[in-house]
Amino acid sequence: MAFIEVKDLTKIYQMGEVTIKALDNVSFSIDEGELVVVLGPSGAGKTTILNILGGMDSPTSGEIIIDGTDISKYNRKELTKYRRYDIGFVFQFYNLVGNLTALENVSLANQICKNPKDSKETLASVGLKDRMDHFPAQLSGGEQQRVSIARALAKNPKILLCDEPTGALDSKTGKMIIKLLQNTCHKTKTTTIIITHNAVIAEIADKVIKVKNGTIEDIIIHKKPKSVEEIDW
Amino acid sequence: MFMFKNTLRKIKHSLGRFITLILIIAIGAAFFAGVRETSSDMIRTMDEYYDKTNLMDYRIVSTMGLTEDDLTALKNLNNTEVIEANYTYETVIDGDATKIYGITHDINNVTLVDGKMPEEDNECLVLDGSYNIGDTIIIEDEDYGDYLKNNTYKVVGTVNSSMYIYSNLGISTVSDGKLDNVIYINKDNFNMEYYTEIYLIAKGSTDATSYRDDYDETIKELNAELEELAPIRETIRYEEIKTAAMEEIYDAREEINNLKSENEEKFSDAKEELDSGQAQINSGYAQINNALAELETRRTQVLTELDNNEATLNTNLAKINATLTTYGIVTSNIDESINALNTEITNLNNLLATLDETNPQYQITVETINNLNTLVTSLNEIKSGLNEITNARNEFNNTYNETLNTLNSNREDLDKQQETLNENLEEYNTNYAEFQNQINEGLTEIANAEAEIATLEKPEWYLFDREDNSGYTTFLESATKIDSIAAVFPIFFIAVAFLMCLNTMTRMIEEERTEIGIFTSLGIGKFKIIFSYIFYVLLATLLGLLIGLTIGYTIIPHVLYNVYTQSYIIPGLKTYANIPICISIIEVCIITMSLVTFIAVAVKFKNSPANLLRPASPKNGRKVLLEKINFIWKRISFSWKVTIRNLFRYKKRIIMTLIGISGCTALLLTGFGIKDSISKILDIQYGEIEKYDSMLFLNESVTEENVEINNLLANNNIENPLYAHMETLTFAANNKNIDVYSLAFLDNDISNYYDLLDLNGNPLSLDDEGAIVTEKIADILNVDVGDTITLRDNNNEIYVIKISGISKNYINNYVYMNTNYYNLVFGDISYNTIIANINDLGDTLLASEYFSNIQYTEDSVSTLQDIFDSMNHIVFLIIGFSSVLAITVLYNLTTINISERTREIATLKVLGFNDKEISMYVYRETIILTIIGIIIGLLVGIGLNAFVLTVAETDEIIFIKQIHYLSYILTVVIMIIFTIIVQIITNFILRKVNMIDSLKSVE
Repeated sequence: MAFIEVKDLTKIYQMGEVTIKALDNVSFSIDEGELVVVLGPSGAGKTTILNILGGMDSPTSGEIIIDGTDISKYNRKELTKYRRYDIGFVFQFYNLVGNLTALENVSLANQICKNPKDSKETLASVGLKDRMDHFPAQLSGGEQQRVSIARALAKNPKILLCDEPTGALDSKTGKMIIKLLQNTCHKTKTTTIIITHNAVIAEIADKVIKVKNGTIEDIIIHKKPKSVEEIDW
Repeated sequence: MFMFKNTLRKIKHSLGRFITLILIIAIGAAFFAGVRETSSDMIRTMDEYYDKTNLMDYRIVSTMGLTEDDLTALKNLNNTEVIEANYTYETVIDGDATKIYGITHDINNVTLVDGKMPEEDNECLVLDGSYNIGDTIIIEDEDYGDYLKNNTYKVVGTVNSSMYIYSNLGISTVSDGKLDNVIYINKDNFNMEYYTEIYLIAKGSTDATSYRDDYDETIKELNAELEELAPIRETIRYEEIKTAAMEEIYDAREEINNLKSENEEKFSDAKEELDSGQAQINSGYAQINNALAELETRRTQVLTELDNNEATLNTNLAKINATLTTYGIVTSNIDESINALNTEITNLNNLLATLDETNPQYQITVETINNLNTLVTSLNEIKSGLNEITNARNEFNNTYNETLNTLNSNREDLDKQQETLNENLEEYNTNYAEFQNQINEGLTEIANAEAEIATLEKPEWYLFDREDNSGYTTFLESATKIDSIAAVFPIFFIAVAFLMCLNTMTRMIEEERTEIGIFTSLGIGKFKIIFSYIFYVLLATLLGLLIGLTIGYTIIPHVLYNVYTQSYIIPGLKTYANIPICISIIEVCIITMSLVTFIAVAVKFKNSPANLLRPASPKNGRKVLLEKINFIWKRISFSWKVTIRNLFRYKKRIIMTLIGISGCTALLLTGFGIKDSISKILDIQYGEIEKYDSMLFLNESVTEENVEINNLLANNNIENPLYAHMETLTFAANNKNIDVYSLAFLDNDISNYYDLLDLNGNPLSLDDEGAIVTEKIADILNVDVGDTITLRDNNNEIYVIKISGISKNYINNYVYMNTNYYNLVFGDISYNTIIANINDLGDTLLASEYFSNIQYTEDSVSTLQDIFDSMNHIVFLIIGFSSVLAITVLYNLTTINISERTREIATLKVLGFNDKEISMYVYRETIILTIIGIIIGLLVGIGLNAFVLTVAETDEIIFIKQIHYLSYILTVVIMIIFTIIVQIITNFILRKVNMIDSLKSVE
């Protein structure tokens, strides 16, 4: 049994009279410690997958078994708990609290976890040892995204979910972030799922799940994923 | 067109914000317009009522009534518009002091509430709320006939009168001095020779607004004329009364004299007649008596003569009988003797015949026969003599008896006459005595009347204007109290409302930064964009004003007014939309709101469109000052650190929130503070400072304690009466004369009735060196102990008084002094007032000759209570509106706070913060702000309370500015409750924040 098992996942949005099928019988599995890229164009349904995997939304039908537990029937409270303890989330726009320093932003997430990592160490591990007391506005985009990653990692999550982590960054900084994620994934064996429309990034993944029109187009497994240095966009 | 659509869609989209905006403007406008308008609406309503019912401007009463001539003289005054004379009569019915009025039709008209106007002479009207229709009212006064034709009246209608708009009807001259009831009957049912009251309406007074300065101006001229006319008419009336009385006396005297002269002759004639009658009777009796005496004398004479004659005859008879015996003849009576003699003679003649002449015997026999014949002759003579006597005696006796009978019957006649005469005499005597009495009585009456004329005092006219009507003035005071509060509060409300709008608009424009950028880059003109926002704001403003002004001009005045009518009997409020004020409010709102919006949008245009399209660079986080104080910062938990940091991030919002919360807190505290002050002031003034329950006004002043009065009081168990001289004086300040009651006491120790404390709470006592003045006097004149103040009496005499102490006092101005100091400054004292606790004995005391009037502390308190109650009601309004404002402000601020931070909150949710943690993340800020806001608000509230009360103070009142600790607690509790309510609402908003928002790009 895989670490994450998604079976027949369907999500239908009811917008007034219009019914939109965002996901249609999607099934896939992810192993523990795997670096997975969910790839697809805008509107393909990857954000829906992210929302459901991140515990922000519930599916219309289907199962999502995470580490042996089906979260698809979770209620609001259980989902909150799931997000709190199992998920680390990296946002496209970093979503740092502007008036908290980098360290404080990490500590903010830290304080609600069961066994958080040390905030300072985590920040040091993403290479921001010297920028800990800076406010987000004083940090570059890449640095902010690193704080965001540190904040997610400090929670010691089972799954690290990244939503277009390079979307707001130039390619150089983007690559550094991807590298950080890849390294972290391999080093800490944290299951990492990156949602992106950038096919280049997919090349570094252990597994690529291609989404199109709410269905799985393809699932590619890289036996030897490329290193970040080998890719470019 | 497209921009309008866009704006309308925005409204639909953020309906909550739009409604909040409308609400805040509405509250501000409603309060501002409503409270400002209430008092002038009230005054205008009453003015209309006064005009409609023709309320008099002046009422004239004279100590000797008013005549038709007075009426004419008054009618002829230049400034008299309408005039009407009336009869009134005050009496006690069922223990209630009742004033009976004639029903007037030109002035002081009554308004029929129910029933009908009286048609019959035994029908009457009553004030609504006293008697019921169908009740029978019986005048108990036995002398009612001097005033009224009837003493029994049936109530046929209930009325309202603009003369009696207040539950307290004013004073009365009967019973305990308080008027309890008013009754109206037809004028022609009065039985009085003169009018008791004349009412006047001055030219132009109907056009002037009652209570306003123009009214005072209008009636001034008539007042001057009346003041001039009064002494003239007083003198004329005095002369008239005097002349009439003199004439009456003269007539009476003449009548007595006529009576005397006419009747005295009659009486003397009668007397003479009676006397002569008596004389006649008397002479009658005398005649009879004389006749009787004569009769008796004659009888004696006649009988004696007859007896004598009889005796002579009997003697002769005896002699003859003796001779006879010699002849041997013895008989028992004369006839036998004669017969015997005749027999002898016959015998002798026979013998003789036998004898010759020469016989010696013969001669002897012849001689014997001669002798015997002589004897027979004598005997016959005697016999006829005796018969004659008997006959004479009989005859006389007959005559005697006859005469006697006649005389007796005459006497009886006289007796009868005497009896009649006696009766007549008796009648005469009675009549005469009566006549004398009549004359004496008449004379006494004349003498009395003369004495009365000698002491006759000039009649005095009393001029009353509307201000002498307690209802009229109390109403103004009530209305003015609202005004004084209205002066301060609405500005506060409006200020808070503007701040909130500014806040909301700034936020809205900030949120739509990108949209503005898009529009600009699409080439839409700046002004079109600006106008779309102004359109949004103006729509909200106009809707808010529409709601606010409608409420302000209708509901608020009505609510306030209806609470008033509890103690007034007045028509319903007429609200007048005060168009100029209305327009100026609208203008100010439109201009201010547009300006605020314009500035907020215009600032955005400083950025280039491209810049606007990019997200605003996040505000720099900054360390706060507190972090530098390491030992405190270290101890604060992480969540609180975050909160503090957040707080200082949005300084503008903090300030807004603090102003909002502290403003509402201050308003609430002030509301409660005013209530505290009002509820305490009467208790302190009339319970702690002035402790007596009544002031008795003496009919005649006394220069020392009066034993009789003291006895009267002592007999009624009234102890320790305090004699005082009370007078109203004035002092000039702020271009007007302010009234002061001067009280000089007989005793130095007044602690039974007064507790005078200085401003530090130490007791004050009276001394010979100066007077104690109350705080307000010292305040207004800015004087201190040892200084002097100048007072004037109503003759404009000036008195300078040295201040020996300043006493705490809240209502009215007083100058207290002892007798010695009074004598020193004012001259010889005379006491006109007695201060005492009389315990419901007013009727008994007023019935005595000593007291003219009684003023009950209780009545003063209840009148003031009504005035203060009016302040209380507005306080409730303030508290109510503050509460609504507080909730709206808190809600507005919190929603803005959340909307500014939707992304942050969504992020926290994604990070796994549970609902409670999210709420607390926001609440912690609110809690801190609420606490700080409440603290600031309480401090501001103390000041605002003092300020409002100072503004509300008049020249006669000082308010207690200390706020009761319970009010602080209540204010804090209410604010906390509001905060909690708003937080509960906020909680729902927080839950609705969608986590997906965190994934969106920054706007």
